[in-house]
Amino acid sequence: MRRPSISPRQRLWLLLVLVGLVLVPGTGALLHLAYAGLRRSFGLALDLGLIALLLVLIALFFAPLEALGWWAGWEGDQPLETGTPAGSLAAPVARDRPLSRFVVYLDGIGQASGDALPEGEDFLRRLALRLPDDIAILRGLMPYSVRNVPLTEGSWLAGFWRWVDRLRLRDPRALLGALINLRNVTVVAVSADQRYGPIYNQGMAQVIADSLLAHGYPLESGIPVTLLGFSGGGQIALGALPHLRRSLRAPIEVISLGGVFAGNTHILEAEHLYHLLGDRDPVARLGPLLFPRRWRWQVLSYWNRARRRGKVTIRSMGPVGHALPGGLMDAAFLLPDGRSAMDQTVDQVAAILLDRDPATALPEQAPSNVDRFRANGWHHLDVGRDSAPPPAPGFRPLAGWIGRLRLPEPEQRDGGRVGFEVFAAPEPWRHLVSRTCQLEWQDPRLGAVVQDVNLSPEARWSAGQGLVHPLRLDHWRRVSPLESLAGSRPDDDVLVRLPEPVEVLEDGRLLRIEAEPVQTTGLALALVQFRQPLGGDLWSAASYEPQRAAFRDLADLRLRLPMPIANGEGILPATAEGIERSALNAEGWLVSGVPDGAGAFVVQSLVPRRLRRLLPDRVVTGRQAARRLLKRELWDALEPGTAFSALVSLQPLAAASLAAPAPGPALASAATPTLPSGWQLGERLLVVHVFGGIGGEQREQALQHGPCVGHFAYGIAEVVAEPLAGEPAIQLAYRQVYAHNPDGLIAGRHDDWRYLGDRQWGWLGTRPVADILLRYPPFTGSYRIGDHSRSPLDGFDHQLTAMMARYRVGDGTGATFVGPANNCAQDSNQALFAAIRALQQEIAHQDPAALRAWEQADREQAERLRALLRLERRLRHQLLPFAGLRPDWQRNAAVLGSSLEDRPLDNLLRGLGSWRMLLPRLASETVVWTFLEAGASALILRSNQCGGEHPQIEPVAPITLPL
Amino acid sequence: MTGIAQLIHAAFSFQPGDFQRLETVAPGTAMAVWVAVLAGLSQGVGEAFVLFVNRVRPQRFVLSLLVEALLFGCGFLAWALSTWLAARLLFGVAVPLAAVVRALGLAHTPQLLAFLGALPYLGVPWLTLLSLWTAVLFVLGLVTATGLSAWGAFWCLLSGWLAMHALQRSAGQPVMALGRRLQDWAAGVTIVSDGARLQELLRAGPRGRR
Repeated sequence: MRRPSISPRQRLWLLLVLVGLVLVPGTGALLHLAYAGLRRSFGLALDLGLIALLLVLIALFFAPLEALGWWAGWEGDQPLETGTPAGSLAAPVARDRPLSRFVVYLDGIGQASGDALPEGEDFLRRLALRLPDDIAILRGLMPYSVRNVPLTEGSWLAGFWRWVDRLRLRDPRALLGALINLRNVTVVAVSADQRYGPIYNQGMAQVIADSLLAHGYPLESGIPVTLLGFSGGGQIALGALPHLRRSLRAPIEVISLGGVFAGNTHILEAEHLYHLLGDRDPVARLGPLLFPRRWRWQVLSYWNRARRRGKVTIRSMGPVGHALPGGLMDAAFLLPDGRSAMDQTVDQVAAILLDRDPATALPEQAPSNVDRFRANGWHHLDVGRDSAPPPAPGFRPLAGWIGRLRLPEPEQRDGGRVGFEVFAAPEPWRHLVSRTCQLEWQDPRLGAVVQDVNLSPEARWSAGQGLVHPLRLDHWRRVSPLESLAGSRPDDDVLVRLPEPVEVLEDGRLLRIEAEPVQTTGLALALVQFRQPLGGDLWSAASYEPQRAAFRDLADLRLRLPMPIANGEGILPATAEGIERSALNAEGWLVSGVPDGAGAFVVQSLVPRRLRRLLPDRVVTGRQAARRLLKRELWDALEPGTAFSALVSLQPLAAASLAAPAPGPALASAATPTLPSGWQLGERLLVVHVFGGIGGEQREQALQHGPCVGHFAYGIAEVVAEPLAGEPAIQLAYRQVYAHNPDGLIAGRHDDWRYLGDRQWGWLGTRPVADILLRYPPFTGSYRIGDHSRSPLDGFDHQLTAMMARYRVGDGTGATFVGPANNCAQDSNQALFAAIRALQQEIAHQDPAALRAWEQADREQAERLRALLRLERRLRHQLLPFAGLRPDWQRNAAVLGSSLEDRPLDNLLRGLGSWRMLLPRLASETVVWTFLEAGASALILRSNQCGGEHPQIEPVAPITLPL
Repeated sequence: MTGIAQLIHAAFSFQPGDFQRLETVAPGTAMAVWVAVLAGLSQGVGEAFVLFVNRVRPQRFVLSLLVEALLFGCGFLAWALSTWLAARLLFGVAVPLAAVVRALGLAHTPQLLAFLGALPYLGVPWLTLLSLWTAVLFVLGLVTATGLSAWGAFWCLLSGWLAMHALQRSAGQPVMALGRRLQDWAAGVTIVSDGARLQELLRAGPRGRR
């Protein structure tokens, strides 16, 4: 971008001189003297100049009247209508397929009639020829009238304006033609005014929306809209933007062609602003000069914040001016490359509209842990090696469908689908293994989180520091949650399992799912005990036989525990040293991995069986004991390599009932199928997860200068029959609302195999972890309403899914940063709060009579519902004690973790509005205690750096408040 | 009218010398009140945006402007009174009330141009400038009328202003309520004028006020 013609320093001096002139005594006399001198020299010219200034002031004074009169209803009996929808399509559009985009052209301040200036119309004709017919271009709006009335029609001055317009069209340099510009400039000032702007811009948005609808824009379709504003049309476009976005609920981008606009318009709400600027354009440069909010030191203005967040691209158009001659739309003015200025403008706009805008170069990057971990060949995806059958008996497939997500090339994108290279498939689809199918995630509720991605400068800077941002998605439009999952890392190395149901279509070419794919590790599972090292990374092992309820040595079972790669701080994610001596080895390990192709099995991930059993080491009942366990004992026990579990309830639990046979369906092969009181097979549980820090000799950098904050996440677990163990077990998938990080951890659903047990990417080997599984049927169970069943847990899951999708793309900026108001704990619990509110509203909208009838028909459900409403009140009080401070939670608004620099005080205040969610451990204690008080029972699973010995590190408990 | 013209010229030329001369030829107290009322009318026009947002009908709009001008005049007198009291009680200056009214009237002359506050984009900074101008003129006027130092006049002005606002929020509540009722009566609707609620009205759209 070229510097403005007056530098900030010069501007400051100018201001100081002007202030000095006003304040210094005798200025009045000096001015008088100056005026007299000028009058003697220039006489009539000076008077004419002053008269012109007076006329400008008068025109400015009356300029807001049209919009104000419209608002106040002074325009007759139908004061609130903006008139008949106007405008027309610049070229016919496709009738046989849906339109992909609408472009609305808003002409410059020279427009007097319903048509743009001749060069504007010429530009639109050329542009239409360059675009496919599924992009509609809407023209012919009058951007300088809130009622869309051209100057040349309607009012008593119409005849005068027609005469001026004719004169000006005959000779563009006619002085009277400037009157049209002058009149329309006053309207630009109205649009930019903080008082009149909201009125005028709302009216203009209505004009645009009405016109779009009249020309076939399907409401609620989310089809993106581009506002293309020339000169003053740039201000009108940006002014109308937030209102139009609200009424259409669609993504809107703005292309400004030499636009003159203020810095107080809500540019942040635009998907993106492209500002095409000629190097010889003096008019567009008035904007940064005249509008103080565009001055650089106004760091919190919308303009400057949008620039910092990468929402603005300023593109030089070379030696081009503003209007004719030599302007952006001059077809006769040739550039050094042989194109006309008009051709260049059409090229640039078409490239933006066709997604062919050249992406900004990416920064030099410091290596991330992803780059380092790539060196571990055993954690590379290799369908040929990984999909081979396990080398010994005692294994089972990890899931039905497993595969690698492949991000399509930009030109091959297809409605948000991604590629899915099949690593494992159930019968009868085994033949699809090693093929790449199309994967479609069908969930219309996620439309709201489909966003354009343009990396902000902060995201670029952060990527340069070694954090992993979705660089491959930069400048992509309408990025689907599935694309963001596939494209979050530099390479296609995301292995997922597909949650059921999976619909196989087009003879296996297309797979359709209804829920988010779960990031996972390995293809096969086994329950093993490590016996002894055999040299290198090979181990002999015993496999569990459920029928005998004992481990049995198998001669052909050889496991590999390869040494992982250390992270950037030199900390090994896992070791195998002395794993056979670990206290957890007696009960065995659930291992997940792939065959090594040479008769052994590579353990890519492992989790102690202790952490997946439903046999608690302790049963804790009563308020005091439960409180003590939750607040103190849980994190006091920090011996590395240990794990324990506890069942907690505030109500007394009969010890006998714990050992009683499970009341749920019997497990065919179970030797001793026991479940805690009331817990049933198939039951779902809410998981509250917290991890702590890495201390000891290799203390992690995050703890060098402060306490350990830790991390918070929710998850959903299910009580399943584990055939490998022949007993009920926990199957768990986290919902990670995780900010961008150097480890390449992608916000989304994670199997414990990936997030926790993975020996290269997981945390089990290095951190203390607490997973608290909450069983509370009013929340975790289902309600049958009519023919369908609804579960509050599903509603919550949906909210989390949307939040995770937003985190992956940083709401379009490519980066999510952690702050007091937005972090893992705050945003996970915003999702919980949103789910609770949605449920509350759904119930409030029920017909009371129908609700009563429903309650009487099923008293058990009704009792559960009452308990749920009690929980809802408690949670609302706990999560949001100062509701007024968190309007974003109240509205469930899209205000994700931007940088702290964005309104730091506001960020802190918002964080305090839900202060119990500021610290992960405090958040978990609050939520768990609220559930326990409501009558829930909880199974606590705690572990400390499980796996091999790792004396260089020690577990560090996360901090909390003694409340 | 010559008096008013002189007054305006003196105020706008911003010459302390002229200002002192003016005190000797200054028009009477009644004219100072007139200046205040006219300034109120001008300010009403400058801030007429509030009436539009409240969707006041045209005839009511004119009536509202007149009522606002009258109320502004009353406020002006209250401020003069509280400043006079502050001068007497806090600074022990036995200055006639009429002198304070004249000084304040003089200070309000720039507000005659407050109608230009309606100018888009330029209006808001213009109104801020006029407020500062008025404050400086009042200090100058009070210095001339009372013989106080500039700082003394400033504190006197500030104390009077604070006292007036304290009164408005305490014993003056019924009077304020009467003023609001008068405004609402003139406008034909309950006038919303505080920033947050105006924003709400704007967000609700033109139909929101129906």
